[in-house]
Amino acid sequence: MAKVIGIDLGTTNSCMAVIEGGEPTVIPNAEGGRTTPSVVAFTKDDQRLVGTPAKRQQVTNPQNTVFSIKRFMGRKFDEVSEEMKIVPYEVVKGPNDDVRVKVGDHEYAPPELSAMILQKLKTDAEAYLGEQVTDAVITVPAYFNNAQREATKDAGTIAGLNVLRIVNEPTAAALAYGLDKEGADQTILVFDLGGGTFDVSILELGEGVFEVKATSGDNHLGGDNFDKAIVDWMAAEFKKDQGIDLSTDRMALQRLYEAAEKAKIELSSTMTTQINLPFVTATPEGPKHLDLQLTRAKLNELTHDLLERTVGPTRRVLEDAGLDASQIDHVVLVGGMTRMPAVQEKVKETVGSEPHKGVNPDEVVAVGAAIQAGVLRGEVKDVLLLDVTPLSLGIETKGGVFTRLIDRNTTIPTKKAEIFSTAEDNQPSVEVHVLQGESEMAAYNKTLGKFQLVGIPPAPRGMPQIEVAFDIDANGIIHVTAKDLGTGNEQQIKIEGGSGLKSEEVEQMIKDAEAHAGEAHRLRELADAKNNAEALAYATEKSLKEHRESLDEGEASTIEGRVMELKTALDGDDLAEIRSKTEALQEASHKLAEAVYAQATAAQAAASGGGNGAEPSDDEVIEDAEVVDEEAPTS
Amino acid sequence: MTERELRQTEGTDPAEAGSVPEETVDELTRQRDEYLDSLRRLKAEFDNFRKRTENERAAQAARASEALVKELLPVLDDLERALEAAEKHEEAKLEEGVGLVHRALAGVLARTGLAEIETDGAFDPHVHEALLAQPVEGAEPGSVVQVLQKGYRLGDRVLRPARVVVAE
Repeated sequence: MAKVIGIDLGTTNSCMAVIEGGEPTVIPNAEGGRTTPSVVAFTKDDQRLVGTPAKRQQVTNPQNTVFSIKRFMGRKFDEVSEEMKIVPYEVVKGPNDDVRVKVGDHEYAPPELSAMILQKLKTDAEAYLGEQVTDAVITVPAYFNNAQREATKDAGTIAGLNVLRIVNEPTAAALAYGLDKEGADQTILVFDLGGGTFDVSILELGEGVFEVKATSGDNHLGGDNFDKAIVDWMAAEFKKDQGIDLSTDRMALQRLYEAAEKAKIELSSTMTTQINLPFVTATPEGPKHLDLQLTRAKLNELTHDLLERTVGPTRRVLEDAGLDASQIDHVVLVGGMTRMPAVQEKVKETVGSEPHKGVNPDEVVAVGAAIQAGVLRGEVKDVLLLDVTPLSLGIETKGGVFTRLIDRNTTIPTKKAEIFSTAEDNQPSVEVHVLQGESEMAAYNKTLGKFQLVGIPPAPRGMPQIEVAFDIDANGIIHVTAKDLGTGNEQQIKIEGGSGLKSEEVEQMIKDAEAHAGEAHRLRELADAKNNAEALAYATEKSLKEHRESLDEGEASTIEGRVMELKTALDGDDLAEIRSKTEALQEASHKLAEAVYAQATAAQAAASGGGNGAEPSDDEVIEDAEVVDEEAPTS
Repeated sequence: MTERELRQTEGTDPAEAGSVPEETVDELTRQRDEYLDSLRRLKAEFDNFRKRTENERAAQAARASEALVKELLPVLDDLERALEAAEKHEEAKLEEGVGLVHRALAGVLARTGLAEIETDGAFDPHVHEALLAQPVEGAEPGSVVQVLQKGYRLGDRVLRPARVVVAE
C-alpha cells in the first residue's frame, strides 16, 4: 500500500512527515535536514535549485531567487503591492490579473514555483521510503481563501501529487497533539510564531470536526525579527567598546547572526550565556575579539517590543471568536520561536493556560498532516489501538528495593519474565509483592497485590530458581505468575484495573516519585551495599569453612575477624562504614581465593565449583536476583 | 422432482437450516479471539521494539560524541599550555606551540572523516555559500574569489558550506 505524506508548505521552510508503523516520522531531505528552505532559484547556466543550495546562492543571484512565494499564492496582482516591494525578484501582472513571477524571459505562476518545492520534497520522500509517493495532504494557513487553497492544490497537481486534502495548519497542530481524541466541544487556541509570520487561531472541535472560529496575526513578525534585535545589540555593544562598525562586514555579520541564533537557543534553558567571537575583525593595531554576556533578562528586554506585538492579535482573535480567555481548553504552540521561554510566558499571560509541549514546534504541522494522511488511508484501525502502561510494574526484592519488570510507557499487551532466587539458606517460601510506580524503593510505590509461593525444597540461598512472569493483556489486566523451576510449583495472581488510573493520579505518582527520588536513591544505595556485603560475608564464610586447612591460622582469623566486623556494620545503616568493611573483607579474602585456586590446580580439577566463592561477580548475580524472604521487613 | 425437493427444503425448520452448530460458533469465536490477541501482541511488541531502538539510538549518539570529546581533551590541554606560554610572553614559542595544537586538532578531526571543501574555481551552491557578490577585475564572473570561512565535509555530508565571496 502506497504511503501518503503530510506536507507543511511553509513561507520560509517546509517540512514533511509520514506514518511509519503507526507513528508519525519526519522525513529528512536529501541534504539531511528535517526542514527544507522554501526557496527556488534559476542559475545563469539554466539550472534549477531548490532548498538549501538555492538559499546559499541568493546573494549572487537575487533577481532569480524566489522565496516567500506562499505570500503570492492564489492572489490578484493588485492585492500584493506591499509584498512586491519587499522581494528582490520581479512580480508582474498575468492573465486575469493573476500574479506572475518573471525570471529571465519566463513568467511563472506562483503554484508552478510552489510545485518545484513540492517536487523536491516528493523526490526526497521517495528516496527515503524506497517507494513511489503519489498522494499527499498539504497544509495551508487557516485564513487562506478558496483561491489560495485552489492554488495550493494546483501546486500539488503540477508536482505530480494527488492532494487528498488541504488541511488548516492550526488543525494539523491540534491533531499532532491528539486533541481530536479529547472528547467533544473543545476550544483550542493555536499560537504560531514562525520564521517570518505570526498567526493565531481559535478552533472549536465538535463531533470530530474542527471548525476555525477566528484568525488573526501579523504577516511580518517572526524569528528573523528576534535574531535581528540580538545582532543589532551585539553590533552596538562592539561599536561602543571598540569603535568598529561590524554591520558593514559581511563575514562578521554572518558570524553575529549565527551567534545570535545560538545564544537565543541557549537562553531557552539557561539564564545567561557567553557570546564569544574571537578574531571577529582586525584593525591595523591587530585582531579584535567579541566577548559579550547575554542574560535572559537582557534578551527579553531587547525583544520586548516584538513580544508585545503578539499580544494584540491574540486578544483580537479571542474577541472575534466571542470568547473569554478562560473558555480556552487547550493552547498549542507552533514555530521555532515558541521555544523561547518569554514567548511561552507571554502566551500564558494573555491566554491564562499552560500550553501543550512535547512535539517539535518546527515539525508539529507536518506531523499533524501525516496523521490526517494516515486517517485518510485508514492506517489507524480501531481494533488495534493499543494502550500503554502508565507506570512501571515490578516486585519488591531484598532490602525493600523495587525491581522493575515492565517499564512505564510500554505498549500492551506485553509479557516479561525474570528469574529470582531466595535470600536465606533453606528458605521454604517467597513472597511476591507486586507494585506499581517510579520510585527505586518499594515503600514509595503502590501495592497492587501480594502472594506466596510455598514448598521450595531446602537449598542454599541463591540456588532455587523462581521465575516471575508479568503478563498484561490488551485490557490492562495483569497476571503475575511465580514458578519454582526446580519443582514446577506455581502460584499466580490476577490484578484488574492496575492501569485504570486517572491521568491526574499517574501524574501525582510520578511527581511523588520525583519528590522522593533523593531519599529513595539513598535507601537504594544502602540496600544494594547491604545485599552486596551480606552476600560477600556469606560466600566468604562458606568457602573459609571448606578451605580452612590450606590457609595459615593467622590469615584465617584475619578473615574471620573482618567478616565479624562487616556483620556488625550490617546491623547499622552507615553506608560508608558498610562499604569500607566490604572492601576490607574483599581484600582479605583474596588470600582465600588464592588458596582455593592453588588447591584446585593441585587437584587438577577441570572446573572448580568452589573457586567462585569470593568472586565479586557472583555477588552481583545474587544481589539482583533475590525475592524478599518472609522474614525480611516489607515496607 | 425439483418441486418436491424444493418443498422439502422449505419444509425444514428455517432456523435450523440457517444456523451453524453451536460448537462451530464457539470454535470460531475462540479462534478469532486468539488471532486478535496475537495480532495485538505482535503490534505491541513492534511498538516496544521501536521505543527500545529509539532509546538505544539516543544512547548511542551520546556515546559517539563521547569518543570524539575524549580525543579532543589532549588538544584542550595543549591549548591551555599555549595560553600559559602566552602569559610568559614567549612569542616565538607561542606561535610554534599554537601551530602544533592546530595540527593535533586537525589530525583528530581528519581521523573522524572531516575533510575541507575545495574552493578553487566556480561557485557551487551545493558546497559553497555566497556571502558577497562583487565585481573583481580579472576574475571570471561566478568564480570564488575569496574564502571568508572554510567549509567542511564529514564523510559524504556537507557539515558546513564554505563561506565565500563570488565575482560578479
